[in-house]
Amino acid sequence: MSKLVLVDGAKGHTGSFLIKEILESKPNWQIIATDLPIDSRKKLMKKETIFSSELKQMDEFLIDPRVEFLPTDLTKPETLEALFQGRKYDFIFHPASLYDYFALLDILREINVEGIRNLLELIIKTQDLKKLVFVHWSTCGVYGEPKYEKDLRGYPIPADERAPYDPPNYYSISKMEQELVLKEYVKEHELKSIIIRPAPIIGPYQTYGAYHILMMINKLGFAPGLHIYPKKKRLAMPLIHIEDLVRAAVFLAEDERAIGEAFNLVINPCLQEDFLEYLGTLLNTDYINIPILWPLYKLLSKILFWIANRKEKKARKLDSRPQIDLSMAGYMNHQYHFSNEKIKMLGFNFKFPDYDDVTKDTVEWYLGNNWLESDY
Amino acid sequence: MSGILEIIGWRVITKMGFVSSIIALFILGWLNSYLYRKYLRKRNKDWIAFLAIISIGVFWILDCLIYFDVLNMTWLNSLPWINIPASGSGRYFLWNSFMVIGLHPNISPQAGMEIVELVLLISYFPWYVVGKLLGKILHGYRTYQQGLYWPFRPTKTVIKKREK
Repeated sequence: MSKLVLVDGAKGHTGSFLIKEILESKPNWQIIATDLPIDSRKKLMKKETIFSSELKQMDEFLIDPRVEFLPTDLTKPETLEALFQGRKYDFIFHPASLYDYFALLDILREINVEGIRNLLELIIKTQDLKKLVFVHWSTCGVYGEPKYEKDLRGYPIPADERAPYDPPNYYSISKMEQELVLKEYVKEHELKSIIIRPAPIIGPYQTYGAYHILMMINKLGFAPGLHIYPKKKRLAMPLIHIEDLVRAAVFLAEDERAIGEAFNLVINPCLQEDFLEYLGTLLNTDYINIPILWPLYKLLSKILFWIANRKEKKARKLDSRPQIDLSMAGYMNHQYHFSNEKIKMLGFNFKFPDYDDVTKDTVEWYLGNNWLESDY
Repeated sequence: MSGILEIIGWRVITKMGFVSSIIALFILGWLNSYLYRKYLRKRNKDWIAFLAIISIGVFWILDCLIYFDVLNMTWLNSLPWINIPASGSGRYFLWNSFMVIGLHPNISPQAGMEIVELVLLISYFPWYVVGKLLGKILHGYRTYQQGLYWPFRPTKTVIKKREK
């Protein structure tokens, strides 16, 4: 059945994969794609080029006859009007956000929070709210580090979508506020919405986020495997493959049962040490297995976090940015352990359900396309 | 022989003993690992093995020459704080090489200590390897790797390199 869909953030990592997915799996869907005009985007998204000279976006999909691209700016409501003139959408996918751990809260609020407000204002004025489904991109980061229930052996049970908000950094705060704005509109205008909360995204064409782990291990030349004792303190590695993320968004948009719900998007539980060991194997680096007691690990990670904090302050002074953003270093000493059972219950099948599938596909792509340095 | 070595500036090298050789080889393993990653690997990947053979070989040969008194170490007696006996000077020196810097444990080689000497001599190789491994962790192994130094590089250096 023919559908008209709007995808914002269309030139970003998620947006471009989403368009590719729709073009491949939904032959009858027409896409209106939008993103910032080229110059504004370059200015705002410095992080896309600063960490990799290899940046190549998947712009080729935007020239497909089923895609119409309209440049807009979420912070300027007048530019958004063109998207809605004479169009009634079936689905609006809203991955557009400033995803940048280095950005200050003001700018994150302006783009992410006021941006969604501007978009929703126009939606309720122009769209058929009985038909439209609004799919909003949030993040697992809105939970921060929840208080986990424990199993009989004392191991943490992955947190589900009912965990309360406790965002640990500016970016996650802005995503939480986005969700709250959306919930206001859902309540007042009975807008049909779905919130997806992806774990750190991994996959081809990425130059920020989980990509930094790949880059770091490749540069270090070894994967540090800190095996924490007691074992129940070992840290999880939440990830989601970009293809599964966009497949899930399309899947949920079409499922009536998903309306009004939030969904974690994360692979099956895996430990950081297993992920790093496999990553080391794929990158042809060594793996150093270091057993360590939890209090000692905490102390070590606090020292490293302190160093990262100093480096970030220094970089700000120099009007630049450090080689790894501080919030990413937070993964060293926090337990981020989330459940994907809810979306599985709806019948969604992950193409990359486990850490090894995700890692293999991604690393092979990076090495094959020379986005990571290699001898081969 | 020792006179010739003095002339060509090998005085420092011939001051090696068992323990000082172990320390020197550990540091050399580290340094070689860095040189290999930074300059030599791109020329020939086998340099890591060549460096190990050269480094350990030189130390083994020198220490053996000293041990068998082919290199006579009594010339060090010209220094006021050193007193190497004329007989068995090489062996005595190898056990007491730190006397050059004023640390003189005065160990007299006894019968039966040969086995310990052999073990120490063989241990040059693992100590070199440990140094090389440390260098690999700190500086990387392949040309594009930078080891543990990478995340701790000074922020200014990182920014300058990025701007280039």
